[in-house]
Amino acid sequence: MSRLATAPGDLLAAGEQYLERIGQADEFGAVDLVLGLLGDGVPAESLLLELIAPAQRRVGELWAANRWSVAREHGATAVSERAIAAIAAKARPEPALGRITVACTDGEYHALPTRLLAEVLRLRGWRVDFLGASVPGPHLITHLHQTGPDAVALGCALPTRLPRAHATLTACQAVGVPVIVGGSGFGADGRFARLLGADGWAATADAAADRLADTGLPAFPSPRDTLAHLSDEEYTLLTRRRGDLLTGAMATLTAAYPPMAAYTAQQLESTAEDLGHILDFLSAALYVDDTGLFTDFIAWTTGVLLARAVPANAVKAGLRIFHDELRDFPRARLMLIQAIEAAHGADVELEI
Amino acid sequence: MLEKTPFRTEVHSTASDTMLLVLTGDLDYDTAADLFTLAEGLFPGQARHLELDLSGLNFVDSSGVAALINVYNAAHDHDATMRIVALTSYLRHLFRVTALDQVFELPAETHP
Amino acid sequence: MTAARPTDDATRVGGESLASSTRAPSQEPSREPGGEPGPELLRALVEASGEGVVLCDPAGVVVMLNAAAARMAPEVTVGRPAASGGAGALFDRGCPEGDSREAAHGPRRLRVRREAFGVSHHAWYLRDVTAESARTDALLAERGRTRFLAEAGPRLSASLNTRRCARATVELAVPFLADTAMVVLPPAGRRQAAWLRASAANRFLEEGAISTATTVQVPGLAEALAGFPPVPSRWLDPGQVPQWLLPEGFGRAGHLLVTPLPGNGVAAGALVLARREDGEPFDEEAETLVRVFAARAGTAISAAALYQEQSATNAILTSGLLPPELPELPGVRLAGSLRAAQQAGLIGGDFYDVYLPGSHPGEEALVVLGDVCGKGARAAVLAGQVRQSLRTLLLLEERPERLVPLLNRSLLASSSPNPYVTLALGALRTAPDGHVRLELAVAGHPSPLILRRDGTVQEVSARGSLLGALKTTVLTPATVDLAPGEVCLFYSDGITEAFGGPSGKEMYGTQRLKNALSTCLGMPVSAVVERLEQISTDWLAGTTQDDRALLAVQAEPAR
Repeated sequence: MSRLATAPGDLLAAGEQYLERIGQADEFGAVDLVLGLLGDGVPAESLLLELIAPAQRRVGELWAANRWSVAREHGATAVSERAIAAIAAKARPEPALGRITVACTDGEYHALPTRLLAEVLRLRGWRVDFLGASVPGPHLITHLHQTGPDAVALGCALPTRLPRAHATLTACQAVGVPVIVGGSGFGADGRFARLLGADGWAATADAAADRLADTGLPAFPSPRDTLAHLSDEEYTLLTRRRGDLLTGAMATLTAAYPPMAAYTAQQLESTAEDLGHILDFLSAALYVDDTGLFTDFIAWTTGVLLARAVPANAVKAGLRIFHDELRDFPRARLMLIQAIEAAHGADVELEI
Repeated sequence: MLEKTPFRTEVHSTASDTMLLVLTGDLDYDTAADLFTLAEGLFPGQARHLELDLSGLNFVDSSGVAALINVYNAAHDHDATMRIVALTSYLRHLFRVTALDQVFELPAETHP
Repeated sequence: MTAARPTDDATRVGGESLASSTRAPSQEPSREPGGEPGPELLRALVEASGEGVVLCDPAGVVVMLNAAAARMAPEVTVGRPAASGGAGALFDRGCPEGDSREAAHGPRRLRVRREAFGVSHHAWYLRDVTAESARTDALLAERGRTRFLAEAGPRLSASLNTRRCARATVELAVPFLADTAMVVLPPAGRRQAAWLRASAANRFLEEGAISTATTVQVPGLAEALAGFPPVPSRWLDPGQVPQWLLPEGFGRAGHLLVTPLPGNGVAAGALVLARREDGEPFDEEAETLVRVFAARAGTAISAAALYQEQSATNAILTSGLLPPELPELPGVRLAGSLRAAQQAGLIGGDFYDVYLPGSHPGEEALVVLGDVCGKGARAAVLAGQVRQSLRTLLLLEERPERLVPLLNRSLLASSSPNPYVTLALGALRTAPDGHVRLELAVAGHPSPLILRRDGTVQEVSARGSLLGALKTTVLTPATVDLAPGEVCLFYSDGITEAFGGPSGKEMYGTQRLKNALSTCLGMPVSAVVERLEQISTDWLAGTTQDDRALLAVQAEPAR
């Protein structure tokens, strides 16, 4: 492979090239590209945050727009993992700061942003233990007892994992280790991080590294209040009734939406999956008592489904069924009404 | 969480030397020990032939399969025979995967 | 405020009696025996009062004082201004009439009140409250110490990690007990003692290690580490403190206290506290408090040390049971995932392994994925035995269809009560055209799936009986050819027999796994395994049922 003509710092052109290579699952090409840039003097952190991270965001968008298949998306991400590992193998500063455990929330498989954070912290001189995707709570706590880090950095990309992220961060604090959180799951402004009592939050990997270096986290986290709004049990009951609600909704939807009668088993299954996601996001919204979480998801999912030729009416029909079914859930019903409007907004032209 | 169907066993004497063992529910990690215990008590008695009705078993995991093998081995150790007289298509599939269909005596398939 | 009220009242009662007797001449007729008291009697009355009385003229010059006042403020003299001679703070005329206030005067603490008598005279009433005030201070100090220990408890007992416990100890100690605090942990093996230090002036914790020989430089430290009783602070010479003990810019230490952290029979470390030269010395009460605190910290640190020791032993014992790092094989890509239902998700009855070919030409690599009957540590131990047996048996035999009966015999001879194992294994051979040939044997286990280049998924036809249960093994082996990019997926029944899905009650099943695998066409093998694990985890929706294992073998994709 010939040396690239990219000047250090000019990562934009290289970014296009990188995206192309990961899109073809061209592992060697992508690794050669980043190592070439590293050799040209581009700092490792810039490669991680200004080349790989934006390319991965683009991958997510391309998948959402149905321009890339899920296989291509996963392939690209796997190649980026390799590229990050290749950079990490070349740039290994001596740990000079404290020790940090980096992990993804249980059930969370979007590990790449958290992996990037782990590498940035390592580059900044922390001693980092990266536990990977979907780390079960007991595994994390055992690790904390065994290694005694100064902090835990917990990543959560999907808000539906927030209840488990909450349980995990409370458990970490209970063993005296403060927690900094990040990832889109905690909200673009980090509002769920504050609500759930995280000791710190950062929007990006470098901001998290700055935060840990500048002000640090409290040496000992103080106990937090419980979430008062959960006393109405809407979250608990909705989560418990998930299976029955979905089975019922599928039956009602089949009766109300004639084309479903001709669906294949696999089509029916993906419809059930979509309805399941709606319920999961509704649960999460109830957990943090935030309607915006739910309506944002509905607007986004309506767009994703439109890109796959699923009309917004299907989403709205699902929302109405849940609304009618959840008679004793005033908080959930209010969210569902606003979500129907959000779906409407995402699909004005088709609605006429 | 997943609800389980409780595991139950019934023993009938169908002839002077034949016992029918009817198993229902989930035979898995949590209940396999019940069958081990039952099997141990069966053979010091009169039984020369053991018949198993497995048509009421909802779920059988590897521990459950192990328990059935234990019953089979216990029968052999006491010069008795074991025969499965009824089972579900899922169990037939499971016995095929574990090649136990070549060890256990199974009823003929009812439909082609 | 409330604590001061009773003494206020007491003052007022005394004050009133004196005031009324002073005012008496104008209100009541003065009689000799039985009648109004004369000046001599009044004078004696004032003299006998425990409260100090200083009577001044309009210019503030003392005209009379009683014995109590002379005792409390010896510099006050008749004929001189009350506020002269160092008593200015006491006789401050700006203080409103009738109000009490407290002022330090020499070694004493005095409560002072001014009363005016007409326009000409005023009097100062003095009360010695040194003892009361000391009692209040002691009470407050006692409360502070109780609160300190109450806060220390949960922080010290939160972690089972020695470093975290030591960290909590020094961070709690500063600034309440000292300006800087260091915990020195007992030397571990390499004659190096790790230390952690917190100081009021430094936001970040400092850490390091010192040689055992260096510990003798600190007065009392070697003794404390050896578990000898603490030496009172006044016997330790802070001047002998070596520079490394104190944080940068700390200056000289004025007071030093070295306390052992008592542990399980042996010392769990030592706590070194230092206060600056301008700080208060460690008095007896401080030393008692530090001993109580050190006892709690020592208990926490030694419990953590015990846990660390056990988990280190555990890690050594279980290291052979964890899934192996997958080796690089020429022409082959491998990826695996293991999610155990118990033991914090690390070890269980599912296992996979890869055995590299020996040095002989023509030897093949072997991959295996299996499932031991049962769960948790007990199952993991048997799984480890199976992996070890395979490694040994491979020295004798590497054809899968002959290896499996050998393994069956070794399991039947095993001492485990139910040594039942199901597994799928494959011998790999790469062909010059980039194809990979797999000779497969399956024993009582779900057959591997093949993802073809066109996206179709096939189930391998190999079958066989499970191992460790029956004297004879029934086997139907199969050979599979993987073209570049094609994948052979080994999996355990924890994947296909997972109950969940939208209704929460449905079994995942082989068909769904086949469908999911077909969507992985074109992915790198690591992404295939991760995606399948993710789909399986989503299906389970937060429940944990059984161990789940996946191992994928891919013929290296053409470049």
